[in-house]
Amino acid sequence: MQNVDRRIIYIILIVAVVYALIKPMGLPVTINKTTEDAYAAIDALQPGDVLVMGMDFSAGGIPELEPAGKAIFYQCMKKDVKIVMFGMWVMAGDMAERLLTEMAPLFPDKVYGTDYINIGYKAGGAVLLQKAVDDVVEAALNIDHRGNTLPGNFPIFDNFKSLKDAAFWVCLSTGNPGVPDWIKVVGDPLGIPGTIDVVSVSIPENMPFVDSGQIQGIIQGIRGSAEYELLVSRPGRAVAGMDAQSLAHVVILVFIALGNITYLMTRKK
Amino acid sequence: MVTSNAWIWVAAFFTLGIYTFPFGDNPVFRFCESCFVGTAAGYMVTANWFNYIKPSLTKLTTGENYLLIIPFIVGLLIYTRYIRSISWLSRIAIAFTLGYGSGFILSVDFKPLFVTQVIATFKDLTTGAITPIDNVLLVLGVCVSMIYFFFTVEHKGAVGAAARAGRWVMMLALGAAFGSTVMARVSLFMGRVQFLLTDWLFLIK
Amino acid sequence: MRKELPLAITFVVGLIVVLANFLAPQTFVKINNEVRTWFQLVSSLFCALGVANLTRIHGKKVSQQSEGWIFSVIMFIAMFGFMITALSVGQQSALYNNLYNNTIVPLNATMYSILMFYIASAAYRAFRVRSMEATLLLIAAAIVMLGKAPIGEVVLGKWVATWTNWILAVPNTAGMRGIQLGATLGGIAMALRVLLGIERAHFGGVGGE
Repeated sequence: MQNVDRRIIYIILIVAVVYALIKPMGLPVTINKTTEDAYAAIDALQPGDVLVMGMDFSAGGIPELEPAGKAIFYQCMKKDVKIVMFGMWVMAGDMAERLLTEMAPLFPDKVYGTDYINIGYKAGGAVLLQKAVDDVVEAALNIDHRGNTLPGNFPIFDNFKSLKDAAFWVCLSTGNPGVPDWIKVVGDPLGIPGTIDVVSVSIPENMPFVDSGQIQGIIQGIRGSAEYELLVSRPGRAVAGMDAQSLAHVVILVFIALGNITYLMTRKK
Repeated sequence: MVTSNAWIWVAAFFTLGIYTFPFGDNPVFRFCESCFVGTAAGYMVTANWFNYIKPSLTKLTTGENYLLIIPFIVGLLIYTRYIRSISWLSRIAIAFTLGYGSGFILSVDFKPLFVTQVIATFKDLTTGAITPIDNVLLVLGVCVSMIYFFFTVEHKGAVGAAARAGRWVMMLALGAAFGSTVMARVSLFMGRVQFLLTDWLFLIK
Repeated sequence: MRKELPLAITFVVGLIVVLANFLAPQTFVKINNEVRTWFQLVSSLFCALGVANLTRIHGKKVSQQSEGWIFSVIMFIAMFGFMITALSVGQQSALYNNLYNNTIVPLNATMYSILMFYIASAAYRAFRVRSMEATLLLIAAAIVMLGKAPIGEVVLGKWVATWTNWILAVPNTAGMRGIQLGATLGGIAMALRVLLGIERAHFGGVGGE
């Protein structure tokens, strides 16, 4: 039992995940307080407020972060809150376009450049944020991800000249640069409230920021994304994946338990 | 029934090709791995070109900011590392970025990442987030885990006991980190399986 | 000159940033604003280092026809093929979006996701309760894994989620805060060392000195 061929473990995991996705068990997903806090903070925004969305993730963060990103976009458009998307990661612009391709058609009355805009990736990490605190358009080098000249005729920049004009920020992050940069350049010095949507592996290291109040709640990985989808009443891929997540966790724990039981029995002998 | 979209078939091929690796190295995986490395490197160049280098070049050539010639030269100096006779010039590019980065850290990091965190550790010791003793445990936990990493004093006696308690706190924290890591990796895999079953095979909606 | 010039540049640039942020005399703020843009452009120009290194290493492999050289050719086709296509059609074209969504995204995401297999087999083989600390680690990991998946609450009850939140909010926050405080101080100390030229390891390996 201590030396099960690892390929058997792989096959069991694959079967468990595929089975749970094809035949979902419908396990209820309860909402965590930290997700509720993030949702409530965004829900408190007023029509016309600008929410800045930091698309600081790569393709590895899509399953965990994109569902919550879509849910936040949905929530903001419903409330007439404007969204400015940009990021420190090289895939920021393309990630924002993926989100907009799916979500923008749901709001045909919302206009690119008026209600939302994708500035895209700009180099420099936290230095980009510091520059955007002074002047967003200059930080964007007067060009958005789609190649449009900024500010151009885009009304979104009428009352949004710098990050100081943002009412809220959300950082969707898979690593560095990411959450600490938003906190140290935007959240802490300017006092602008914000929240984060991070991959599960980053949850533990960001909990001190939740405790200190430097962020309003935290959307914790795929579970947090599933909870947020339920909060905006739009269950999607994150909710659909929770059963598979559950089964996979159980399989891994069973194997850990088997390995330890055999180890303890061998040690006794 | 499967999709007729050729691009989805390409994505499915790459996904399944990489998933052959845990079962043994094979030419299909190596093909996909080579594509991964190549496209990732190429994407880095194109993303930077479109989003930052080209707009900066436009600003330089239209006369909006002639000073940009300096960072263009400094930035390109990094590539002199491949020419042995003048490779020392690449140090200038490294020096510039490290100098700016170091100055930035000194200016920006201390208050939000240290002072605010220390202040947040001073809590009302009669309440807590979940149980009434949480704040006491949190304050003690921060102190003992810092003592655990303090190696200039020998871990004996009271300091040793505190360091041992710090180890336990770290073990709980690392256990949480391990559980979160498992969750992250499973969700990544689950995301790819969702793509295969939804977009490629149409087995789930 | 080869040693002194980079050290001087590091010091001067860092000093500009520090003075602009702390004392904020108008001149330094203006200079810092310009130098900030330079920093962004310089770091952006480093983007082709990956392409350059890969070309050098795999070019050698192909020219010497070493073991696996055919995969190096495939890598070159993927790399330059993507670059030429993207640069020709632009970021807004359907071809670029299809390439991005159906090559970059699946390759990137799938490569990270195979870690699930290794974490599962490593946990099975190596995660043993040999000591009190290992037991604590395992208990915390198990509670978090069950608490974060809906099945934990359904099978075991609400206490799993409560304990998960407690572990993350109390001992995890305490431990991570301790690490973060130390790391922040360490980062500041390192930044000071780099600025003052005491730390020079980053200049090693080039220029033959």
